[in-house]
Amino acid sequence: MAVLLIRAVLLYAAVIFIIRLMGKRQIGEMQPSELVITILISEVASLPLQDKGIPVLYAAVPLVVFVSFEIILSALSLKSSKLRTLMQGHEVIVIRNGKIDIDALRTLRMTVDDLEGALRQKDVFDVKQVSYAIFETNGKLSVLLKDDETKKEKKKK
Amino acid sequence: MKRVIVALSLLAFAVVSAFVFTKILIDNINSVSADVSHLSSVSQTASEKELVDETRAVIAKWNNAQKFLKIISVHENLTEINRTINSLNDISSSGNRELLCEKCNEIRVMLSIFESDERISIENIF
Repeated sequence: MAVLLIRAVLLYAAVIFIIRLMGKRQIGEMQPSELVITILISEVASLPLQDKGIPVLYAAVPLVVFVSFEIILSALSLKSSKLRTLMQGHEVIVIRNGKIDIDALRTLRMTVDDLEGALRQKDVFDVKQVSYAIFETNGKLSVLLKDDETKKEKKKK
Repeated sequence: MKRVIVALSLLAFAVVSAFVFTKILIDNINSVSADVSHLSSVSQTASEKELVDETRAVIAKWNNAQKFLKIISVHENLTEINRTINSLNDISSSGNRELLCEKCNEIRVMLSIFESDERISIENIF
């Protein structure tokens, strides 16, 4: 029991250190790879707690490898747009000037119903009102309405 | 930049540790295996006292190696080997040389399997 307690303390310290090292991002803002790594870290860290026969190093080494690669690749992605595209993908424009780009939706494996559902969550109920709708690399939908565009042009003038 | 340096340092440390620990594990296993082989070879010719002393030396070496092995291997893999090696004491004390030789061979096979499971190889990776 005491062994479990000490392991829990050690792993807690290790996980906190790793989370701090990875930096601040909310779950909704994470790239898919970051989210997967975060989930993997929690799964791997729990292994020595589930089975006393598994050494703590069996969790520590993979954790170090995951977080190190995540940080190094993130840093390299800042310097290289090709690597960034490889790791994170690229944004996909799904609506242009009120018209849905079906091919773009197909690449995202989404239907028009899915898109309309996502638009409704942004309080947009008419596709014709949309100037641009873009699915970002983190899966969020960004919408520019025709009205907003007009207002911005008037402000510039 | 600081994070990247820390990440690189940790990664380097993990890689070096992994290879070094694997090497130390294999060296330990081979060393114990060599001693068990030696015990097996002298089991028919050594005197009773020599046999008991040799057996105790093998058990002591294994118990010492086990302290390190438990840090880097799943304990379940060591349980059977541990039990068999520690049973050698009673067998050598009883004077049953054939059984001692048999157990030594059994231990060598178990150690060989354990060592091959820990070795860096395609089968172990995938």
